[in-house]
Amino acid sequence: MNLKNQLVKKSDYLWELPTHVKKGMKVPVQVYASKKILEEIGGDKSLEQLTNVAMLPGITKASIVMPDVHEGYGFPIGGIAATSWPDGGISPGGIGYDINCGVRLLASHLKREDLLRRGEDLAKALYAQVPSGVGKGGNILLSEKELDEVLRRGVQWALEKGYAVPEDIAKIESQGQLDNSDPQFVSEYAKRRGIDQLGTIGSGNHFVEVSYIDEIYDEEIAATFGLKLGRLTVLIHTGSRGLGHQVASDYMKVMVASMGKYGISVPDRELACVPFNSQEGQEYFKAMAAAANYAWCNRQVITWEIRNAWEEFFKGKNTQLDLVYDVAHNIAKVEDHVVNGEKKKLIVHRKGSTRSFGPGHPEVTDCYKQTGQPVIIPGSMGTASYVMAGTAHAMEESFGSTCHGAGRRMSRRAAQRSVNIHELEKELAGRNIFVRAGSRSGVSEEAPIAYKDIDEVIEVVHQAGIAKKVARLRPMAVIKG
Amino acid sequence: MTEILLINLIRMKTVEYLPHIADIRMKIQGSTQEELFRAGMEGIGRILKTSVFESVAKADQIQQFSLDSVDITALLVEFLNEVLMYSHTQKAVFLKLEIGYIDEHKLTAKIFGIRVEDFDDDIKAVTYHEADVIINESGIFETIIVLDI
Repeated sequence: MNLKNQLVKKSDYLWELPTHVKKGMKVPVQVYASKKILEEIGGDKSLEQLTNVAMLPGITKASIVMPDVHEGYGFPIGGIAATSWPDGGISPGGIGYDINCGVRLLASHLKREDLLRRGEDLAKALYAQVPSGVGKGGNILLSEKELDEVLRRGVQWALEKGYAVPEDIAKIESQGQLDNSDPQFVSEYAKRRGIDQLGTIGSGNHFVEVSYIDEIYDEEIAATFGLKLGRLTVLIHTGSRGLGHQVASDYMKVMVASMGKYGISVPDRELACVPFNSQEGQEYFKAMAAAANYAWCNRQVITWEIRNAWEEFFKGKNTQLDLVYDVAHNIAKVEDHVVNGEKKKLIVHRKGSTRSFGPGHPEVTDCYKQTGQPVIIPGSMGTASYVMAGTAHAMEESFGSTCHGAGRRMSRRAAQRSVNIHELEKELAGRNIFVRAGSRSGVSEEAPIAYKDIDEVIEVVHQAGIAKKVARLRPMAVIKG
Repeated sequence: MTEILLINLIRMKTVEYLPHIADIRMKIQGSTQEELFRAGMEGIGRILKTSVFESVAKADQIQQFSLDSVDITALLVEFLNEVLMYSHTQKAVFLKLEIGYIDEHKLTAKIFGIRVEDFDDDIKAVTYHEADVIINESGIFETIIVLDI
């Protein structure tokens, strides 16, 4: 069955697969893409996976995917699935193994010129300060009791311990703390994996990147976000580390074992789910919230580490680093949305998708109430990243969601085979981009060639009106695990 | 701790890595269920630390556990996740497997491994996606396993 040929064009940037293309679909599939991106989507299993998601119990309106889509396992990456509250399905696979993987943006008061010819030194300084690498532990030793506090209170714990300033809190999605967290539903194994990893990046596509703002698209919103042309910024991309991975694995097992008793069957076990209001559903939701709190706290402690390195490196200058915003792109939340003119409470799963709440939304922090929340979209290593703003249209169209990155188009191994690491490093250095990484394979896997064109992805969501371009960032120094 | 010599106990031909856009897809095979489980364990171990398969070493990590699951496929995925969990919590790569009991739903296993300083690559989890234990035309147990990395 060629699903790509059955896509119906709804607008220049939105395509739909009607429910009749596959038996069992409860809602249509909606794909945000340009024609160019659509060609790439057709080459993997994304569309098939989206039709499977469209069969989830309680799924509402559509199984939606963003232009950075690529094949995942069960759910595609870049997807949004909203199920009816309180008895629709909650699925750990719809959130992913890296619970609350997300991105944080810091804005500096320094200019690009302050870093010219020093990018390599700053990369080294940050690499020394921020622990990274596979399974690497950090410098913070938590007791079991303290870990439970992190899981329960997220960034509030960091604030009390001096890893945050009070101004940070309002500029984090959900203020960096989901109230429904309950550490008792996080296994001892998960806690063991997380106890020494607070303040660490990890590996894979996670990074810290120093960039400069090279283009402003909306002066007014940029000013509200504290972004000025030519200023240096810092992006942090990581999540809940081993703790979150273990929570997801633990509850996937629970879901696979339990869904039968609720009469649920799914076309792919990675879609395994139970009713949100079941005991298993509630226990997972509380554990997921605990892992999400850990992730926000992790990015906060990394912020502290970066602020320390920044102060030392730029001694004598204005070294203040202001938090612009912190967004989750692997998470499930209970939210209010209007569907067919009716207000509904929904369980919104975002897997590789960023919340994009527009102006005036009650959950958007006061300082961004007029503009909509900042939406931070990192590109691949060596290419641009974007700052966007949430829109009212996203609330109407995509459950207040937009894309989360460039989206892979080449496998990691294929990238390793096609990229000459010396040439890549030379090419990046020629553009004043310095990379400090724990492994060379990690660098080649993340080469720009392995990703879609971020400019094209951004243009789709901007033109579709589900996020608005505010500013573009160009990398100067990158550290990776 | 019991010292057990671990010498290239498993033949690599039982594991084949296939293309996947973002993660790792591997095909594993075994003439028995036990061999299939062992192949999966090797597939994970080689990603975590290839070099441990190229030398002789003594096991300094032994873990014993039991699992229940809905069927043999889920049992395999959950076994591999258990191995992965011990790899992460013990900072070890497991090379040898002794199965005390196995049927379609239950397993008791003892795994032997070596502590390592670090891993080559991370594996977040073993997924159920595309996993389906079958007996192929040659009478060999096989399945695809997708790893989230």
